[in-house]
Amino acid sequence: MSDDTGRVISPSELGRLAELYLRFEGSPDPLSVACKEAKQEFDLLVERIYTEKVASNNQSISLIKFRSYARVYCRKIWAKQWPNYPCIGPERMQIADETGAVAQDDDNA
Amino acid sequence: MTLTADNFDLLKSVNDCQISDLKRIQFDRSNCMEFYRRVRNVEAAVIHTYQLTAHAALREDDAGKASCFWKDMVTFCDSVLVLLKELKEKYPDCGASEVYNVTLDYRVQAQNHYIENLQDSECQTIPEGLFPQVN
Repeated sequence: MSDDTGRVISPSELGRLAELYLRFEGSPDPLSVACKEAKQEFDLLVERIYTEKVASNNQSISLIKFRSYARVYCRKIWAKQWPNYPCIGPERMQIADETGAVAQDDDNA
Repeated sequence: MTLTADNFDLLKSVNDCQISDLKRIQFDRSNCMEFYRRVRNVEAAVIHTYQLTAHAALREDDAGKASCFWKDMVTFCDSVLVLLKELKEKYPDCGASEVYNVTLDYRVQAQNHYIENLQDSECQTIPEGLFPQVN
């Protein structure tokens, strides 16, 4: 099922996925509660999107594959952004805009 | 500073020095202070190397290249664990057990990143229509 823009996944879902991905994949403290919660929430959101919007129309795509596609997509977003270390943290992260792109923060502009 | 393979070679050589120092020096069993100080340096190296690895790996848009960073982190943790396993028996109650456990936790996390990125490297081409183009 796609939204009214014709995309399978909404911009707000994309923004949330990208934000969560940064919190666990780029976390400087992998043992922190915040890192573990972000990973858990990412996996749950991916699973929900897969179940609600992907599985029925894309039978060749398994959940495991879709999770990898989501991670690859988020990786590409952040690789372009080049986070300004050590400022990876919830308070510094940017949510994707309506197009799904993640804006540069002021320090990186 | 941009993180490059050269930076990581430099980091690796510093880390190797920390490990070889700890291997080489005979410590006074009755005085933990010097041993503890050096073991804590190794712990700091594990944590800092993890942080640099996470940062460098996130900059890669190729998951396969990112997995190589994580593989190196796993290898570094393994070398620390081998050494600490021996030292925590040789110098019990001098802090090596705690650092061993922390290193083990970091090793598990690095291994998870390695495996996931390796899986992701086989899914680099996303089918059209699932996600919008990354500009």
